This record gives sequence, structure tokens and C-alpha cells, in this order.
Amino acid sequence: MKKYHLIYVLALATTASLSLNTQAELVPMNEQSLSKTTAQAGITLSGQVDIAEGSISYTNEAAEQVGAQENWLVVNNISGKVEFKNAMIDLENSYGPNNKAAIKITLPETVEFKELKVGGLYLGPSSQKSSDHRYLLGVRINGKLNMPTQPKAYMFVKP
Amino acid sequence: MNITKIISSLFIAGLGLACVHSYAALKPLDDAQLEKVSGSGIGLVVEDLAISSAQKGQPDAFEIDLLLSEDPNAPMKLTISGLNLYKSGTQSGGRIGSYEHPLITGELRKVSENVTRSIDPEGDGTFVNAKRNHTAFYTALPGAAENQLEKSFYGFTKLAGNDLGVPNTVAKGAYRDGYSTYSKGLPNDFFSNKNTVNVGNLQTLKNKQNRAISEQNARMDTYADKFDLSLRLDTTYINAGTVEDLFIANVQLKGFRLYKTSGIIWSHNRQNERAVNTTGYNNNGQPVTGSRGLSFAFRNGFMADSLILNTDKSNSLASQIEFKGIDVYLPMGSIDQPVSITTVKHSQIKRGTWGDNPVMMPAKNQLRLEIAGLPQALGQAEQGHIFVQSIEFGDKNDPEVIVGRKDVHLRDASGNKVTTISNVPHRAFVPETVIYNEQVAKYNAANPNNTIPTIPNQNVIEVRGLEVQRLVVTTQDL
Repeated sequence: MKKYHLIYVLALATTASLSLNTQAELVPMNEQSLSKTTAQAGITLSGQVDIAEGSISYTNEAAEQVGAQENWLVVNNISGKVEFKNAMIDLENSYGPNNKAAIKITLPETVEFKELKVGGLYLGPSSQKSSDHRYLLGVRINGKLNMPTQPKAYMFVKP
Repeated sequence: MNITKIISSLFIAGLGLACVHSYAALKPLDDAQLEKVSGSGIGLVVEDLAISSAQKGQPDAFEIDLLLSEDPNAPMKLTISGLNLYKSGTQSGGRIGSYEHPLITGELRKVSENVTRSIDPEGDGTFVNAKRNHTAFYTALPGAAENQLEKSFYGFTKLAGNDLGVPNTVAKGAYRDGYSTYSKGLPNDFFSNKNTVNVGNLQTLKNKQNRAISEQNARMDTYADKFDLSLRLDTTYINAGTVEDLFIANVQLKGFRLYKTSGIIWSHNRQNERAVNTTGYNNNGQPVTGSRGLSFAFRNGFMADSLILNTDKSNSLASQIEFKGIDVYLPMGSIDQPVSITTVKHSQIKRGTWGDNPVMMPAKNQLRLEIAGLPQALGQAEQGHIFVQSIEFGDKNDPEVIVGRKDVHLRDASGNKVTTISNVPHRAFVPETVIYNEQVAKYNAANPNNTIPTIPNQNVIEVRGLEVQRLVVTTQDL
């Protein structure tokens, strides 16, 4: 049986997971702020995900293709930062009509993208971008998304 | 409370995703294995969802650039900015899903193809006549079980039990005889100046169709709110060596939501199929249905009150086009027609040499999206339909969009003429039924104790029976 194959190439490997540097600046709260949060459960998260340059490569070997040469799609030069503020993760003991358990995720008030980009989608004969690869498209995201209502996502075992 | 089950579901979901991202000799799970994981999906509900952001050129603008050129000195890009999403008609957040009807993900399902084949699923030389089974990762939005309704009244009257009782087809030679007889779906002569027209079951059937639509809307209200989405499109391009920015349009999608939307991901394997019927089913003795590897199938239903495109930055009405009453359902692939994305070596014809003597270029790597061919034994794929009720250009009082003026004869439920409104402007791409109902609304507002009924609206766009037999999209060099 042929295997189907999807390979991450590496600078990334280390990257995507390892270079996710979540940073949080810890500042003492004043009395008023503390009174609003005391006795509340959950984890409040603000942070920044910093993605160093990496790439992802994809080929579908299981698909029956004509020709012996390998064909790869390379998502190259993934980099940038994503900063988010005031997200929260909590456990809800009584969600829904039957009071089931759920994970409650309060989405951040703001998500700011700083030069988050994919330098290019390339097509070529190997899993790493070379001069033989051809450019298809790149994507770059900048700026701030605001979620003033602080949306809540509830995650639970499907009834 | 069962947090461990949530965590195990998350693990399974992660596992499903990981299947997409890793090596795998992907074989379908057997029944015992599947029993342990099927039904372990995660439900997700999002409440109070609202997103706002600034447009291109404003402080903190949110911009997504699609970079069409690799050369930083010759940038060509399409920019999407100013993404805003709110509960329809408000500046507040909306809900997607409910506890009973959540967004579902992370569910593993056993899926079976619909064609019986001679296969060796275990690869041990034992062939059986059976349907290929696969284990698929299933995701669905709330309302995935809702079907697309017949949004054409004419189509509705052709369904069993919906006979109008009077002729309602296009009169032969309608254009030659005058468009007052052209009323596909309505009783013939409805728009004429006759004092009485036999309307058959018009109002009964209209109410029946409206009731079905209302009931579906009520069900969909329990799944999710309607949302309004707006964004701005710009482009950057090179003009005579100079980089220039060009505003394209402001886009507003009002009152939209999804239905019948779901997808499956699986590894499509040929399972050593051998040809059993050599007539029209094989290529040199081998089956024509090969392995597809990573495969998808998804279906998407989409309704919106309106889609507005405006090519003026300040949204002047004169620069606007509005599509109203949109209902689109498009199935893309199925368990029998996997959608696959591959990279292929493709040779294309040199530009300008099409015709009798095409010149083939050296083969290059290209990206290919393919929906596999429909198996002959199935005969027909699932069909999708597109309905758009009307299109409004600019200001409805703009003389340039008024195609003519005509008397409108308003009728009661029995088809008797109640009054005539003279010289009513008729607008391009707005069905006569819409114009008629606008006049009914005015009449009823002026005569609240003696109202008359509206009539079923027609559509200006109906694309029926969209069915993919096979689709191959391969990128090419320009």
C-alpha cells in the first residue's frame, strides 16, 4: 500500500512549536482591579506568538501521478508576530440545558498581526525551495482585529 | 462533568488533524476500533461574536495582502482591509451554534462508497465484492441537515401536490405579443388590465411555499444568528513603471448564514481494486479509479439577504450594485468523488499557438485541484442550485436604470382588479413581481383596513442542477 505523505520541512519544525514565545508582562494589580477578579476561576492570557522563518512542504505521493519526478508545494518563509490581549480559559460546570461540563474560551479583546506572512507558495521538484521552484502567491497580514464584545466559545462533548 | 472525555475528544481531534500532517499508512479502522472513537466529536458554540477593524489608510488598519508578484520592486497585490462582522442589523455580537446544534469537529466516521467493487482491502490477496470503506474526519456547521428549498415559485408549482390549477407557463410568442402575458409562474394574464383573472391556487400555494421557508428560517434561528460582513478591496499594480494603488470596492454582505455545510477528510485508497467489468470501466485492463491520497469532500449552503458591491469609497448610491435574496448550495465532491490537491508535472500549450499547430511547452510543476470523475454506476452526482431574487443598480430613481413605465393593476385574493397605478417605473433586473409587491406595500399602507395580498416573487438568476461530473483545475503560466 502506498503511503500518503505530507512532510514538514524543518527549520519549521523547530519553529512553529518551539519558537512560539508567549510573553506576558506581569504587573501588580491595584485594589480596584483585584476586586473585579478575585474569586474568579480560569486563566487569563495575553501574549505574543513570534514565528521565526520556517517552511512547510507538501506532496501527495499516494495520488497516482504521471512521471517519476517528485512534485512539491512549498509554503516558504513563514514569519511574523501575532499579539493578543485578555483571552481567558475557564471550566464551565453547567453548560446547556442538561448542565454539562464545557471548556469556556473567552476570545481576546484584540488580536494584532505584525508582518505575519507567507513569503511565497512555490512549486518545484524538491521539498525545499530552490531556484527550480516557481512562485505562485504570497500572503501578508498586518494590523489589529478588535473583538469588543469578547466572544465566548464553549467546547464540549457533542450531545 | 466529564472533562476527561472532552480532553480525549480533543486528543482524537488532534489526532485527526495530525493525520493530515504526518506520514500514515492510512487504513480504515475496523468496527471494533471505530466503535471506540466514533461519536467522540467536539461540539463548539460561539456567543457574542463581533469583529471590527480599520480600513486601509486608517490607524491600526487590518490588511490582508495577497502578493501576486515575487519581486518587491514590482509589487502587485490584492488587499483586503476593514473586516467587520456583527449580528445582522446591529453593532453587537451574534451566536453561532447552540448546545443542541453546535459546530461539530473531531468526529471520526466510517464512510462507505456507493459502488460495489472487487477489492482486496487487507492486501493479503483475498478479493471480495464490496464497497470501499474509509475512516473520515467529519466537521459540520450548525444546520448541516437542512436542505435547500425550492426558491422559485414556478419550480414550486411543478412539485407534486402543488398544481396551480390554471395555466402558468410562458405564453407562446410572449415577447411578440407583449410582455404583459409573460409571467412565468403566475396565472396567465395576471399583469393584464382584465377586470378578473382566474388565479387558481395562487395564494394557497404562495402561503404554502412561504410557510416552508419561514419554518426553515425559524429552525435556522435556533442554530445561529444572521450576520453582516463588510470589507474593502484594493489593488496595487505597476502602470508604466510606476507603482499605483487602486480602490476596487467596498463589499457588504447582509443577513448571511450558512446551512447544509459540512466536510470530510480522509485518505482515499484504491484498496487493490481490480477490474471485474472490462466494458467501459478500465484502462488497459486496470481500473480507472486510482488512489487519491489525502481527499476532501464538502458541501456548502449559503443564504444572504443581500450582497452589495460599491465602487465608490464613500458608498455613493450611484456606484452600487446589490444582489438580493441569495441562496446558493454547492456540493464539492463526495465519498465517491474525492477532491484532491496535488502537484503535477504539466505541459501547457504556448500562448498564441492554439488552433491547428499548437506548440507544447516543456513540462513544469503546477498545482492541481481535482474532483474525481463520477463513477459510471452512480449515474448522477448530488446537484446544487443558485437563486438570486433581484439585482438593483445604483439609485432606483436613476433614469438610467429605469427600463420603462407601465400601469400596474393590483388585484385581490380572487384575482379581481382593485385599482390601477399608472406609469410605474420598471427597473432593470428587477422582476415585475417585485415591482408589483412594492406597489402592494404602498397600497396596504394607505388602506390598512382593506389590504390586498402580495404575489410570489420571481428570481432574476436561477442556475439549476449544478452537478460536477469531473473537474480538473491546473495552474498555468501566463
